[in-house]
Parts: sequence; C-alpha cells; structure tokens
Amino acid sequence: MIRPAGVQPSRDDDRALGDLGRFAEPSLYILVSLAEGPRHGYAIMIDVEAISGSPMGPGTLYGALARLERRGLIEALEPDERRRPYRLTALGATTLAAQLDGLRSFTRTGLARLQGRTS
Amino acid sequence: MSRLVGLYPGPWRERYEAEFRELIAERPPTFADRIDIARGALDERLRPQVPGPERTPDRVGFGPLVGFALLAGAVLIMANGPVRYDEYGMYRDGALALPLVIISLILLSIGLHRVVNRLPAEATVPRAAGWAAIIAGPIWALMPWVMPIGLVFLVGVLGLAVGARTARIWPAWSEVVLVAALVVPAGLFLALPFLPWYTMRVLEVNLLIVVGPMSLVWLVVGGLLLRGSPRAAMT
Repeated sequence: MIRPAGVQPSRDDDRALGDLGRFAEPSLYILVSLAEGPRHGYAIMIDVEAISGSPMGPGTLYGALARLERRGLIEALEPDERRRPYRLTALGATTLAAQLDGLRSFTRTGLARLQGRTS
Repeated sequence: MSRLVGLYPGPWRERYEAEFRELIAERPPTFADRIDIARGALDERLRPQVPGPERTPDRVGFGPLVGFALLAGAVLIMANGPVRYDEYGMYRDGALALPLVIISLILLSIGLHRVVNRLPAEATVPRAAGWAAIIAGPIWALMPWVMPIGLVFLVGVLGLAVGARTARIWPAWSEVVLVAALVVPAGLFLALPFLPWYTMRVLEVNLLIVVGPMSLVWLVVGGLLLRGSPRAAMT
C-alpha cells in the first residue's frame, strides 16, 4: 500500500500485509472481496476484476491467497466439489479495517491538499 | 497448462492444485495468464508459502561454495601468473594462488565432513572414502605437485558421492556429473607424463586440468549442500 508521509500504519496492518511485496495490493482486493462473504477462487477473481477494473491473473490470485491463508487473514472452508471457498477471519477483518482506515486518511489528506491548491 | 502447474513445488500442488485447475478450467488462461502462472510458480519456489517436508538447514553449505569461489579465483591467478624462465624453458608461476587453494580446500573439506555426517551408520565404505578425501584435500593443497594425493582426494569424493546417492541423500544426476567430473581428470592425470604439453612445462595447463573439473565437482557438491536434505533421508 502506498502511504503518504504523516499517515501512520497500525502495528497489525504492518505485520499482516507489510511484507507481501507484489502481492500486497492483490491481497487487499481479495480481503475486500471476501468482506462480503465466502468466495471461491473464480468468484474472487471475477469480483476483484469488477472492483479494481483490471483482471487478476491466476498465479497472482493464488500467490496472494496462499500468503493470506498463511498469515491467518483468511481461511479455507470445506471444498464444494473441486472448488474451495475462502472466508475472512477475525484477524483478516481487523487488518482490512486498518488498511482501509489508512487509505481513508490518505484520501482525506490528498483531497485537502488539492482543495488548498485550487482555492 | 498442466506443465505450467507443474512448475509449482510439490507441497504447493498438494494443497492448491485441485482448486487451481478448477479455476483455470472455468476461465481458460490467456497468454498473460500463463506468464502470471509461471511468475507465481517462481515466487512460490523462491518464497514458499506452503511448508513442505522439514528440511535440514545447512549453513555449512556456504563454506564449500565459498571454497569453490576461492578455487575459481585461484585458477584465474594461476593462469595469469608471471612467466618464469629456467634451464628447462618457460613456465607460469602460480605460487600466488597457493593461499587461496589452501583455504578453498579446507572449506571444501568442511563440506565433505558435513556429507559424511549425513551418511547412515552402515555406509562404512563411503564414510572411509569421505574421510580419505577430507584428509587428502588439505594435504594436496599444501603439495599440489604430488599427484597421488590429489587422486586420493578425487577418488574419495567419488566414493562419498556414490555413498550419498545410495543413501538417497543426493539425486541420481549428481552422481553422473560427479563421475564425469572425476573420471576425466583422473584419466588425464595418469596420461599426463605422456602428453606433449607435459614436457613443455606449461604449468597452467596442468593445473587447469586438475582444478577445472574439481571446481565443477564442488559446484555440484556445494549446491547440494545448500539445498539441505529431507530428514527422512538422513536415517
């Protein structure tokens, strides 16, 4: 996540997503997608494409899912035939909230600066 | 497509392959998706997220790799040493490389010791071969002109490698490489007095014959040591 100066991340936020490298942004999209309820891989992919406006490749999707699962931010449910749904854990929900809070601060700061520039 | 999924490591495939295949069956991958899958597999290999069978971390493996690097450096120094003349003609003086050779062979012997420790108790012959190489290596470093010691070292490595393979510590291909890398220089050692360049006393040619293949051996040995081995193979 890109964070402007002055916007402090929470400790949970950094611990959970700070080390995901190129998977940080896809992971955030996946968390947002699962915030609505459990979804399997294909459904997540479609939803993320709708949210972000750009497709997420299968390698990136499963790279991010594996990382989120390993960190306890999501958990796999019993497979439905060969599809396996995932759902957000309590830690995942907290982390997502912290990330979105950070983004809100970022957006607020950016908009305020733009208003100051135009007024 | 199955080939691309096969790029992922075994533990990952065990956990995710079924659902991953289901996903790509539902949405046939584009060219960009294929690249993305290959990249994902590379990521998983570099930074595995699904733990596999427990592997033994082997920090000692860095020793042999440093040894190999030093040995390669020594070859370069020897091959570019100052030209000397004596009553027999011209030769290159590789004496400057001697400290590097000594350090590298000591490090390589540490690596051999690590392999010996991994052998099962009943592997007495490979263990003896390993110890012979461990002892002969540093001595040969001090007296590189004494070819029989070099031969003991190389044959000891070979015996240890075969033992490591039999104990399933090393994969089969490593044995092939080691045999090729040891048999060829050993044959050349024996033929050395009969080869025309021997009488020319071009030192670097002889040294390259010895050290070149040996460096290859240690590239393999060091690489394998760095990989570690499954605990199951260490019984």
